Amino acid sequence: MNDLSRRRLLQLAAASAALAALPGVGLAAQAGLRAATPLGLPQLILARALQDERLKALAGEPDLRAWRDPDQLRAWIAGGEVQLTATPTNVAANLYNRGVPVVLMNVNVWGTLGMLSLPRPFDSLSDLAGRHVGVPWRGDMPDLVLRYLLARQGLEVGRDLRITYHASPFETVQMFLARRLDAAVLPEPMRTATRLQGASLGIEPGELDLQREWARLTGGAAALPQAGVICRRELLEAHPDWVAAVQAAVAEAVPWVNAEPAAAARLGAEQSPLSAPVFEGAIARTRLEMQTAAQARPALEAFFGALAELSSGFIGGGLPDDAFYLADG
Amino acid sequence: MTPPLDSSAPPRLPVLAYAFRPFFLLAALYAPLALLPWVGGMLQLFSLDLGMPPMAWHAHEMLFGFVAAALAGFLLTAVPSWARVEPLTGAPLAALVLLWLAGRSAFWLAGTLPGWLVALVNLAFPLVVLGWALPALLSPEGRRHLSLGVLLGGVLLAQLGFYLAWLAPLSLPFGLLDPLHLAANLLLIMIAVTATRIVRVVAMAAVQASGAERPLRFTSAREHLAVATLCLFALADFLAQGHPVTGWIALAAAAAQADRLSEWPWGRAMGRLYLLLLTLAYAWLTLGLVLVGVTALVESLPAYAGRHALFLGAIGTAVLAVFCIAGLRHTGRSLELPRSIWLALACLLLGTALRTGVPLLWPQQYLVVSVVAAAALWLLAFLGYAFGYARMLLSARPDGLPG
Repeated sequence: MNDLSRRRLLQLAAASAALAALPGVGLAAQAGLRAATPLGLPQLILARALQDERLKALAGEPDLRAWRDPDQLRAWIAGGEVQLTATPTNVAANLYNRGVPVVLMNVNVWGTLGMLSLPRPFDSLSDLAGRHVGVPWRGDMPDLVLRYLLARQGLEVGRDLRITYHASPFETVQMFLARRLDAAVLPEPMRTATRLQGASLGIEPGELDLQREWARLTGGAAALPQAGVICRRELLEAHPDWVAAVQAAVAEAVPWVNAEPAAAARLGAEQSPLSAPVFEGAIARTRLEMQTAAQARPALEAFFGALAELSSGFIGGGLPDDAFYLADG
Repeated sequence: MTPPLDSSAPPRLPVLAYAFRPFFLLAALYAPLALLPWVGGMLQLFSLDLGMPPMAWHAHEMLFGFVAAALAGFLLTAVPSWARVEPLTGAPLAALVLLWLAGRSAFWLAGTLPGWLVALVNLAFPLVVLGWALPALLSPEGRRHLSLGVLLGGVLLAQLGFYLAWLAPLSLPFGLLDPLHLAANLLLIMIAVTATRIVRVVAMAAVQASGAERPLRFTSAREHLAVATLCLFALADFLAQGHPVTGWIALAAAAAQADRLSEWPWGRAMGRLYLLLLTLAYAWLTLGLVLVGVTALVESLPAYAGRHALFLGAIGTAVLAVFCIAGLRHTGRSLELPRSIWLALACLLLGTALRTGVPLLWPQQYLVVSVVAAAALWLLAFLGYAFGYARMLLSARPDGLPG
């Protein structure tokens, strides 16, 4: 997403925050829990969690809708149309910093970024020297992670390698499959979908896990706190038992997805246009681990701090304060 | 363009009385159809075994399916009046139409048919068209238009390059998309060259019809500069796409097109749809070159945005302009375009604006607005043309003349 569009999104979020500040707006309209999710693995986790019978007994039959772009989510969550959503962690921090009253409940996706490469595999980012890399949306998480790692590797964009930005991951995928790029930075499940599409065309790209590269270059863990679940603060205040039940259900859903990838993939395919093989491949290549917001906070702050140096718009301000994190217990 | 003096007995089917009739109609109907696998794949709604990356399939069908039919209809209609040769009509024309249809069928089955067969069937069509047109364009009367034959030859070579890159990937110094971009850029040059031929006639007609007094003056040197810079851009874009030098050349070419546009009659005459269509095609060409240039120089912008201004905007509008103007003139009608064409033009304009602008300004709306809405508007534009012109294209000339 370019800076201009990012600014517009944030303006919208700020404007929506005013609406969100009105007490009770949107909450009284419907009885059950209204949740949302982006397409992909967060959707799968939340869909499984919302099937939990204890949660249903408390909050009734939940409504889970998918959002396709952050703009849509911002409108829904800021206007109270949904009370709880899975989201990238930087989008959560952005909403919070712009005054939308949200609370981070947990982080459950810790490694979804990678690179596909042609014609030969890359063993490390140092192999990118002299290559042409496609990246969807400048300034978004995949771009910032890549640029952070390139700087650590001592590679300068423009001098040592060429980056081309696209208007959408779909464009990046098409350019990669058409062999217009040597490498493409893509999150899962987009990477698996691309690999499967490539296989039907006789293309077998190499793959590089960017979380491993992060660990190699920073000395930290091969885990980046990329996505989790947030809720509106008023949901927490009005129904703390619902929030606790969702938290418990997510804590059970994440190990279930890891342990039963085939069943989880079938559930994902029922909920979205992506196929079960795409989900199954994506699960195998993604680090899924449930950590409460309080547990994930040190890793989140390190991650936000590192990437916000490259783009102040990444989290829309400074590090979120205590009120952003749901307290354990 | 006027019908040739010496025409043989008209064929029984009016649609086969002149090449523009079947080819314009089929091209208009095929324009939205060729988008289906691409849009369906992008939305993950369905995927067909296309035998190649969907983007390459999509670009091939837009260029060598849709535009090739339009180009064949135009050339096979224009060349007889330029070079005083017999037009292709009746059974030979029907055979050529079938050859084009065979190419489309083969390409839809490109994932299952042998690649060499798909390539041969698809190359046969432009080879026949060029083989028919070239002797006429080399004749003393036709030589003035030989540049179009040369450009057509260039497009044919680009098409050959595409099949080679498809069938023997990695063995060539260029990829699958490079010959497609080259072919599209050659079409842009064709637009610039053709504009030189027709803008005087069309602009004069528009000025007279609007009652304006302003004398028209078109400077040949400025027209040559516009074409020359565009040729340089096509070459640079093939050799080093996205390189800053190519970006500067694109900007220079844009400046030369804008300079040329400044001589066109801006004012009341622009209310004439036939002039407006040509002008819009040329304006998209200019804007597209600016965007291609800027995105090569400013790394943060999505790299592909300007291409849609060139492909949908310039080429799409030029095709619609030729469809409309030639469709009227060669069916013996005055240059009064049906009202439905305003709607078609509005759809094409809006569709191109969304396809070009949304990735730059609202990338989060990429799929819904920039792909789906733009595709729907493209469909409406060409179906609008097909509905507006089907009766004219399928029935005999009202003045009883052949053609």
